[in-house]
Amino acid sequence: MTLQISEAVLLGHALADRAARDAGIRALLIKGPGLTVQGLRGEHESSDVDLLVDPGERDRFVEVMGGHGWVPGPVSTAPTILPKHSRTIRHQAWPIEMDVHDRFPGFLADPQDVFEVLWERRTTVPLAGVDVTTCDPVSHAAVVALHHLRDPARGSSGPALAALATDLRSVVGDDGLAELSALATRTRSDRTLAAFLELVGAPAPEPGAAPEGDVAEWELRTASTGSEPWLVELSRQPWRRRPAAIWHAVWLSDEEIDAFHTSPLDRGSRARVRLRRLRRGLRQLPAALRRLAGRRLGRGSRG
Amino acid sequence: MNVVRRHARDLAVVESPGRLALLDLTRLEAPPVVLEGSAVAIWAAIDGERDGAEICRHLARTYGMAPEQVRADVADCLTTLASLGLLTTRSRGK
Repeated sequence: MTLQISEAVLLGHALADRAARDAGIRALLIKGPGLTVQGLRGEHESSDVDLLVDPGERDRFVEVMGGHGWVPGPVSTAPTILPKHSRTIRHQAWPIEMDVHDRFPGFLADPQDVFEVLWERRTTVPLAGVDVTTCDPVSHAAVVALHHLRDPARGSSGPALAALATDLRSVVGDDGLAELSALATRTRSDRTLAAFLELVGAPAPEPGAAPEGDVAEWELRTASTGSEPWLVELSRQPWRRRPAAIWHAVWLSDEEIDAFHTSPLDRGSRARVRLRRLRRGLRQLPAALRRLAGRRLGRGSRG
Repeated sequence: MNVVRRHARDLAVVESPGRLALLDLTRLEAPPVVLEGSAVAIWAAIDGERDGAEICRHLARTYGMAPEQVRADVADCLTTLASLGLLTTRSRGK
Protein backbone atom coordinates (compact mmCIF):
# COMPACT_ATOMS: atom_id res chain seq x y z
CA MET A 1 0.00 0.00 0.00
CA THR A 2 1.42 3.32 -1.05
CA LEU A 3 1.90 6.10 1.41
CA GLN A 4 0.06 9.17 0.14
CA ILE A 5 1.79 12.53 0.11
CA SER A 6 -0.71 14.06 2.53
CA GLU A 7 -0.06 11.21 4.98
CA ALA A 8 3.69 11.41 4.49
CA VAL A 9 3.73 15.14 5.19
CA LEU A 10 1.96 14.72 8.53
CA LEU A 11 4.01 11.70 9.58
CA GLY A 12 7.16 13.43 8.36
CA HIS A 13 6.50 16.32 10.72
CA ALA A 14 6.15 13.89 13.62
CA LEU A 15 9.29 12.06 12.57
CA ALA A 16 11.46 15.17 12.21
CA ASP A 17 10.24 16.55 15.51
CA ARG A 18 10.99 13.30 17.31
CA ALA A 19 14.38 12.85 15.67
CA ALA A 20 15.39 16.33 16.78
CA ARG A 21 14.12 15.85 20.33
CA ASP A 22 15.83 12.47 20.67
CA ALA A 23 19.11 14.03 19.55
CA GLY A 24 18.70 17.07 21.81
CA ILE A 25 18.56 19.41 18.82
CA ARG A 26 16.22 22.37 18.80
CA ALA A 27 14.04 22.42 15.70
CA LEU A 28 10.92 24.26 14.62
CA LEU A 29 8.64 22.70 12.04
CA ILE A 30 7.61 25.58 9.82
CA LYS A 31 4.98 26.23 7.16
CA GLY A 32 3.02 23.14 6.18
CA PRO A 33 -0.01 21.76 8.02
CA GLY A 34 0.89 23.48 11.29
CA LEU A 35 -0.25 26.72 9.69
CA THR A 36 -3.69 25.28 9.07
CA VAL A 37 -3.94 24.11 12.69
CA GLN A 38 -3.03 27.62 13.85
CA GLY A 39 -5.71 29.15 11.62
CA LEU A 40 -3.16 30.91 9.42
CA ARG A 41 -3.97 29.02 6.25
CA GLY A 42 -6.92 27.19 4.79
CA GLU A 43 -6.78 23.52 3.86
CA HIS A 44 -3.81 23.15 1.58
CA GLU A 45 -1.86 20.08 0.54
CA SER A 46 1.81 20.49 1.35
CA SER A 47 4.30 18.40 -0.55
CA ASP A 48 7.27 18.47 1.78
CA VAL A 49 8.42 19.11 5.31
CA ASP A 50 10.25 22.31 6.25
CA LEU A 51 12.07 22.77 9.48
CA LEU A 52 14.28 25.45 10.91
CA VAL A 53 17.03 23.93 13.01
CA ASP A 54 19.34 25.57 15.53
CA PRO A 55 21.94 26.88 13.04
CA GLY A 56 24.85 25.48 15.00
CA GLU A 57 23.27 22.03 14.95
CA ARG A 58 21.97 21.87 11.39
CA ASP A 59 24.73 19.60 10.09
CA ARG A 60 24.39 17.30 13.07
CA PHE A 61 20.65 17.08 12.46
CA VAL A 62 21.29 16.09 8.85
CA GLU A 63 23.66 13.40 10.16
CA VAL A 64 21.07 12.18 12.66
CA MET A 65 18.50 11.93 9.89
CA GLY A 66 21.06 10.03 7.82
CA GLY A 67 20.98 7.40 10.54
CA HIS A 68 17.25 7.08 9.89
CA GLY A 69 17.76 6.66 6.15
CA TRP A 70 17.26 10.29 5.06
CA VAL A 71 20.13 11.31 2.82
CA PRO A 72 21.03 14.70 1.33
CA GLY A 73 20.03 15.28 -2.27
CA PRO A 74 22.43 16.76 -4.82
CA VAL A 75 23.83 20.09 -3.65
CA SER A 76 23.27 22.78 -6.25
CA THR A 77 26.29 24.88 -7.11
CA ALA A 78 24.08 27.43 -8.84
CA PRO A 79 24.70 30.83 -7.24
CA THR A 80 22.06 32.57 -5.20
CA ILE A 81 21.81 36.23 -4.31
CA LEU A 82 20.77 35.40 -0.75
CA PRO A 83 22.72 32.87 1.30
CA LYS A 84 21.77 29.24 0.74
CA HIS A 85 19.38 28.49 3.52
CA SER A 86 18.42 24.83 3.43
CA ARG A 87 19.55 21.32 2.66
CA THR A 88 17.15 18.85 1.18
CA ILE A 89 17.08 15.29 2.46
CA ARG A 90 15.22 12.31 1.00
CA HIS A 91 14.34 8.73 1.94
CA GLN A 92 13.68 6.01 -0.57
CA ALA A 93 10.55 4.82 1.26
CA TRP A 94 8.99 8.27 1.57
CA PRO A 95 7.32 10.22 -1.28
CA ILE A 96 8.34 13.60 0.15
CA GLU A 97 11.47 15.59 0.89
CA MET A 98 12.51 17.51 3.97
CA ASP A 99 14.08 20.94 3.69
CA VAL A 100 16.33 21.50 6.65
CA HIS A 101 16.87 25.25 7.09
CA ASP A 102 19.55 26.87 9.20
CA ARG A 103 18.17 30.33 8.44
CA PHE A 104 15.17 31.84 6.76
CA PRO A 105 15.69 34.43 4.01
CA GLY A 106 14.46 37.89 4.90
CA PHE A 107 15.41 37.77 8.56
CA LEU A 108 18.55 39.87 8.26
CA ALA A 109 19.83 39.50 11.84
CA ASP A 110 22.42 36.81 12.53
CA PRO A 111 20.76 33.41 11.90
CA GLN A 112 21.55 32.23 15.43
CA ASP A 113 20.00 35.36 16.93
CA VAL A 114 16.92 34.91 14.75
CA PHE A 115 16.58 31.31 15.81
CA GLU A 116 16.81 32.26 19.49
CA VAL A 117 13.99 34.79 19.05
CA LEU A 118 11.77 32.27 17.26
CA TRP A 119 12.63 29.49 19.70
CA GLU A 120 11.80 31.67 22.68
CA ARG A 121 8.29 32.10 21.22
CA ARG A 122 7.81 28.47 20.18
CA THR A 123 4.65 26.47 20.67
CA THR A 124 3.34 23.07 19.66
CA VAL A 125 0.60 21.93 17.30
CA PRO A 126 -0.97 18.48 17.12
CA LEU A 127 -0.07 16.74 13.87
CA ALA A 128 -0.58 13.02 13.29
CA GLY A 129 -1.65 12.73 16.91
CA VAL A 130 1.68 14.10 18.15
CA ASP A 131 2.58 17.51 19.57
CA VAL A 132 5.07 18.99 17.13
CA THR A 133 7.20 22.03 17.95
CA THR A 134 6.62 25.02 15.73
CA CYS A 135 6.63 28.81 15.69
CA ASP A 136 3.91 30.67 17.54
CA PRO A 137 1.35 32.30 15.21
CA VAL A 138 3.05 35.71 15.21
CA SER A 139 6.49 34.38 14.27
CA HIS A 140 4.97 31.84 11.93
CA ALA A 141 3.18 34.57 10.05
CA ALA A 142 6.49 36.45 9.71
CA VAL A 143 8.16 33.33 8.28
CA VAL A 144 5.39 32.72 5.79
CA ALA A 145 5.10 36.36 4.81
CA LEU A 146 8.82 36.44 4.02
CA HIS A 147 8.37 33.27 1.99
CA HIS A 148 5.71 34.97 -0.13
CA LEU A 149 7.54 38.30 -0.30
CA ARG A 150 10.69 36.61 -1.60
CA ASP A 151 8.94 35.74 -4.85
CA PRO A 152 6.41 38.49 -5.45
CA ALA A 153 6.31 37.66 -9.16
CA ARG A 154 4.83 34.27 -8.40
CA GLY A 155 1.15 34.63 -9.15
CA SER A 156 -0.04 33.10 -5.91
CA SER A 157 2.07 35.30 -3.64
CA GLY A 158 -0.18 38.37 -3.56
CA PRO A 159 -3.42 36.54 -2.74
CA ALA A 160 -1.63 34.29 -0.25
CA LEU A 161 -0.18 37.30 1.54
CA ALA A 162 -3.58 39.00 1.69
CA ALA A 163 -5.19 35.84 3.06
CA LEU A 164 -2.42 35.50 5.64
CA ALA A 165 -2.98 39.08 6.78
CA THR A 166 -6.70 38.46 7.24
CA ASP A 167 -6.11 35.22 9.13
CA LEU A 168 -3.40 36.67 11.32
CA ARG A 169 -5.55 39.63 12.38
CA SER A 170 -8.32 37.32 13.49
CA VAL A 171 -5.97 34.89 15.27
CA VAL A 172 -3.72 37.29 17.22
CA GLY A 173 -5.59 40.60 17.41
CA ASP A 174 -3.99 43.98 18.02
CA ASP A 175 -1.63 42.75 20.73
CA GLY A 176 -0.28 40.14 18.37
CA LEU A 177 0.25 42.71 15.64
CA ALA A 178 2.30 44.81 18.06
CA GLU A 179 4.34 41.69 18.82
CA LEU A 180 4.86 41.18 15.10
CA SER A 181 6.34 44.65 14.79
CA ALA A 182 8.64 44.04 17.75
CA LEU A 183 9.68 40.69 16.26
CA ALA A 184 10.48 42.39 12.96
CA THR A 185 12.78 44.79 14.77
CA ARG A 186 14.54 42.05 16.76
CA THR A 187 15.11 39.90 13.70
CA ARG A 188 16.01 42.84 11.46
CA SER A 189 13.17 42.07 9.11
CA ASP A 190 11.38 45.39 9.55
CA ARG A 191 12.29 46.43 6.01
CA THR A 192 11.90 43.06 4.32
CA LEU A 193 8.52 42.61 6.00
CA ALA A 194 7.43 46.22 5.50
CA ALA A 195 4.79 45.43 2.88
CA PHE A 196 3.20 42.77 5.07
CA LEU A 197 3.31 44.89 8.22
CA GLU A 198 1.43 47.59 6.35
CA LEU A 199 -1.02 45.13 4.82
CA VAL A 200 -1.87 43.56 8.17
CA GLY A 201 -2.11 46.93 9.92
CA ALA A 202 0.72 46.35 12.39
CA PRO A 203 2.21 49.37 14.16
CA ALA A 204 5.31 50.78 12.49
CA PRO A 205 8.33 48.89 13.87
CA GLU A 206 11.42 50.44 15.38
CA PRO A 207 14.22 50.29 12.81
CA GLY A 208 16.05 46.97 13.04
CA ALA A 209 19.38 48.24 11.75
CA ALA A 210 19.75 45.68 9.00
CA PRO A 211 22.94 46.25 6.99
CA GLU A 212 22.21 48.22 3.81
CA GLY A 213 23.99 45.64 1.67
CA ASP A 214 21.77 42.85 2.97
CA VAL A 215 18.64 44.90 2.30
CA ALA A 216 19.93 45.57 -1.22
CA GLU A 217 20.45 41.84 -1.77
CA TRP A 218 16.92 41.14 -0.59
CA GLU A 219 15.50 43.80 -2.90
CA LEU A 220 17.49 42.41 -5.80
CA ARG A 221 16.38 38.88 -5.01
CA THR A 222 12.74 39.85 -4.86
CA ALA A 223 13.02 41.59 -8.22
CA SER A 224 15.21 39.02 -9.94
CA THR A 225 14.19 36.92 -12.91
CA GLY A 226 16.93 34.29 -12.83
CA SER A 227 20.00 35.85 -14.37
CA GLU A 228 20.90 38.18 -11.51
CA PRO A 229 22.26 35.47 -9.20
CA TRP A 230 24.76 34.49 -11.84
CA LEU A 231 25.76 38.09 -12.42
CA VAL A 232 26.15 38.69 -8.70
CA GLU A 233 28.25 35.55 -8.38
CA LEU A 234 30.31 36.65 -11.35
CA SER A 235 30.98 40.03 -9.76
CA ARG A 236 32.21 38.26 -6.62
CA GLN A 237 34.76 36.23 -8.57
CA PRO A 238 38.29 37.38 -9.40
CA TRP A 239 38.66 38.20 -13.09
CA ARG A 240 40.70 35.07 -13.81
CA ARG A 241 37.85 32.84 -12.61
CA ARG A 242 35.08 34.56 -14.52
CA PRO A 243 35.32 32.56 -17.77
CA ALA A 244 34.90 29.32 -15.80
CA ALA A 245 31.99 30.81 -13.84
CA ILE A 246 30.25 31.85 -17.06
CA TRP A 247 30.77 28.39 -18.49
CA HIS A 248 29.33 26.80 -15.35
CA ALA A 249 26.31 29.13 -15.41
CA VAL A 250 25.36 27.77 -18.80
CA TRP A 251 26.48 24.21 -18.42
CA LEU A 252 25.85 23.06 -14.82
CA SER A 253 26.77 19.49 -13.88
CA ASP A 254 24.72 16.53 -15.08
CA GLU A 255 23.65 15.90 -11.47
CA GLU A 256 22.38 19.44 -11.02
CA ILE A 257 20.35 19.28 -14.21
CA ASP A 258 18.99 15.86 -13.28
CA ALA A 259 18.01 17.17 -9.84
CA PHE A 260 15.29 19.27 -11.48
CA HIS A 261 13.75 16.16 -13.08
CA THR A 262 12.14 13.09 -11.64
CA SER A 263 14.61 10.74 -13.34
CA PRO A 264 18.09 11.12 -14.86
CA LEU A 265 18.10 12.57 -18.39
CA ASP A 266 19.96 11.22 -21.40
CA ARG A 267 22.67 13.26 -23.11
CA GLY A 268 20.35 14.67 -25.76
CA SER A 269 17.80 15.85 -23.21
CA ARG A 270 20.49 17.49 -21.09
CA ALA A 271 21.80 19.29 -24.15
CA ARG A 272 18.31 20.64 -24.87
CA VAL A 273 17.98 21.80 -21.25
CA ARG A 274 21.32 23.60 -21.52
CA LEU A 275 20.31 25.28 -24.76
CA ARG A 276 17.06 26.49 -23.18
CA ARG A 277 19.00 27.83 -20.18
CA LEU A 278 21.33 29.73 -22.48
CA ARG A 279 18.46 31.25 -24.50
CA ARG A 280 16.56 32.24 -21.34
CA GLY A 281 19.69 33.70 -19.75
CA LEU A 282 20.49 35.82 -22.79
CA ARG A 283 16.91 37.03 -22.97
CA GLN A 284 16.96 38.10 -19.30
CA LEU A 285 20.45 39.58 -19.38
CA PRO A 286 19.69 43.20 -20.38
CA ALA A 287 17.02 43.66 -17.72
CA ALA A 288 19.18 41.96 -15.10
CA LEU A 289 22.10 44.26 -15.87
CA ARG A 290 19.81 47.28 -15.55
CA ARG A 291 18.56 46.13 -12.13
CA LEU A 292 22.07 45.42 -10.89
CA ALA A 293 23.50 48.74 -12.01
CA GLY A 294 24.47 50.92 -9.08
CA ARG A 295 23.58 48.46 -6.32
CA ARG A 296 26.02 47.83 -3.48
CA LEU A 297 25.46 44.31 -2.27
CA GLY A 298 26.15 42.69 1.07
CA ARG A 299 28.45 40.15 2.54
CA GLY A 300 29.71 38.52 -0.63
CA SER A 301 29.91 34.84 -1.47
CA ARG A 302 28.36 32.65 1.19
CA GLY A 303 27.83 28.95 1.42
CA MET B 1 -4.00 -17.28 29.85
CA ASN B 2 -5.22 -15.13 26.97
CA VAL B 3 -3.13 -12.56 25.14
CA VAL B 4 -4.58 -9.08 25.01
CA ARG B 5 -3.30 -6.60 22.44
CA ARG B 6 -3.10 -2.85 22.61
CA HIS B 7 -1.75 -0.24 20.24
CA ALA B 8 1.85 0.71 20.86
CA ARG B 9 1.92 3.97 22.80
CA ASP B 10 4.40 5.93 20.76
CA LEU B 11 2.86 6.12 17.31
CA ALA B 12 2.10 8.91 14.90
CA VAL B 13 -1.22 8.20 13.23
CA VAL B 14 -2.94 9.72 10.20
CA GLU B 15 -6.53 8.66 9.69
CA SER B 16 -8.54 9.09 6.52
CA PRO B 17 -11.65 7.28 5.29
CA GLY B 18 -10.78 3.58 4.97
CA ARG B 19 -7.07 4.16 5.64
CA LEU B 20 -4.60 4.52 8.46
CA ALA B 21 -0.98 5.53 8.12
CA LEU B 22 1.17 4.71 11.13
CA LEU B 23 4.72 5.56 12.13
CA ASP B 24 6.50 3.95 15.05
CA LEU B 25 8.24 6.85 16.76
CA THR B 26 10.54 4.51 18.65
CA ARG B 27 11.98 3.18 15.38
CA LEU B 28 12.38 6.18 13.14
CA GLU B 29 14.36 4.22 10.58
CA ALA B 30 11.33 2.00 9.92
CA PRO B 31 9.08 3.15 7.07
CA PRO B 32 5.47 4.08 7.79
CA VAL B 33 2.83 1.37 7.62
CA VAL B 34 -0.42 1.87 5.72
CA LEU B 35 -3.53 -0.10 6.65
CA GLU B 36 -6.55 -0.35 4.37
CA GLY B 37 -9.86 -2.22 4.32
CA SER B 38 -10.29 -4.99 6.88
CA ALA B 39 -6.94 -4.14 8.52
CA VAL B 40 -8.41 -0.78 9.55
CA ALA B 41 -11.38 -2.54 11.14
CA ILE B 42 -9.08 -4.95 12.96
CA TRP B 43 -6.93 -2.05 14.19
CA ALA B 44 -10.03 -0.30 15.51
CA ALA B 45 -11.11 -3.46 17.30
CA ILE B 46 -7.84 -3.64 19.23
CA ASP B 47 -8.81 -1.84 22.41
CA GLY B 48 -6.39 -3.12 25.02
CA GLU B 49 -9.10 -5.32 26.54
CA ARG B 50 -10.00 -7.90 23.89
CA ASP B 51 -7.97 -11.00 23.14
CA GLY B 52 -7.76 -12.49 19.64
CA ALA B 53 -10.93 -14.54 19.94
CA GLU B 54 -12.86 -11.55 21.27
CA ILE B 55 -11.60 -9.39 18.42
CA CYS B 56 -12.88 -12.04 15.98
CA ARG B 57 -16.29 -12.17 17.68
CA HIS B 58 -16.51 -8.37 17.76
CA LEU B 59 -15.72 -8.05 14.05
CA ALA B 60 -18.01 -10.93 13.08
CA ARG B 61 -20.87 -9.34 14.99
CA THR B 62 -20.15 -5.90 13.51
CA TYR B 63 -20.04 -7.17 9.93
CA GLY B 64 -22.67 -9.91 10.19
CA MET B 65 -20.30 -12.83 9.67
CA ALA B 66 -19.38 -16.00 11.50
CA PRO B 67 -16.27 -15.70 13.74
CA GLU B 68 -14.53 -18.47 11.83
CA GLN B 69 -14.86 -16.45 8.61
CA VAL B 70 -12.68 -13.68 9.99
CA ARG B 71 -10.35 -15.73 12.19
CA ALA B 72 -7.55 -16.31 9.67
CA ASP B 73 -7.44 -12.67 8.53
CA VAL B 74 -7.44 -11.42 12.11
CA ALA B 75 -4.66 -13.80 13.14
CA ASP B 76 -2.50 -12.79 10.16
CA CYS B 77 -3.09 -9.13 10.75
CA LEU B 78 -2.34 -9.30 14.48
CA THR B 79 0.88 -11.18 13.79
CA THR B 80 1.97 -8.66 11.19
CA LEU B 81 1.13 -5.64 13.33
CA ALA B 82 2.98 -7.13 16.29
CA SER B 83 6.03 -7.92 14.15
CA LEU B 84 6.10 -4.29 13.03
CA GLY B 85 6.16 -3.11 16.62
CA LEU B 86 2.73 -1.50 16.35
CA LEU B 87 1.14 -3.59 19.10
CA THR B 88 2.05 -4.52 22.63
CA THR B 89 0.68 -7.57 24.38
CA ARG B 90 -0.13 -8.62 27.92
CA SER B 91 -1.37 -11.86 29.34
CA ARG B 92 -4.74 -12.05 31.00
CA GLY B 93 -5.74 -14.92 33.30
CA LYS B 94 -9.14 -16.47 32.62
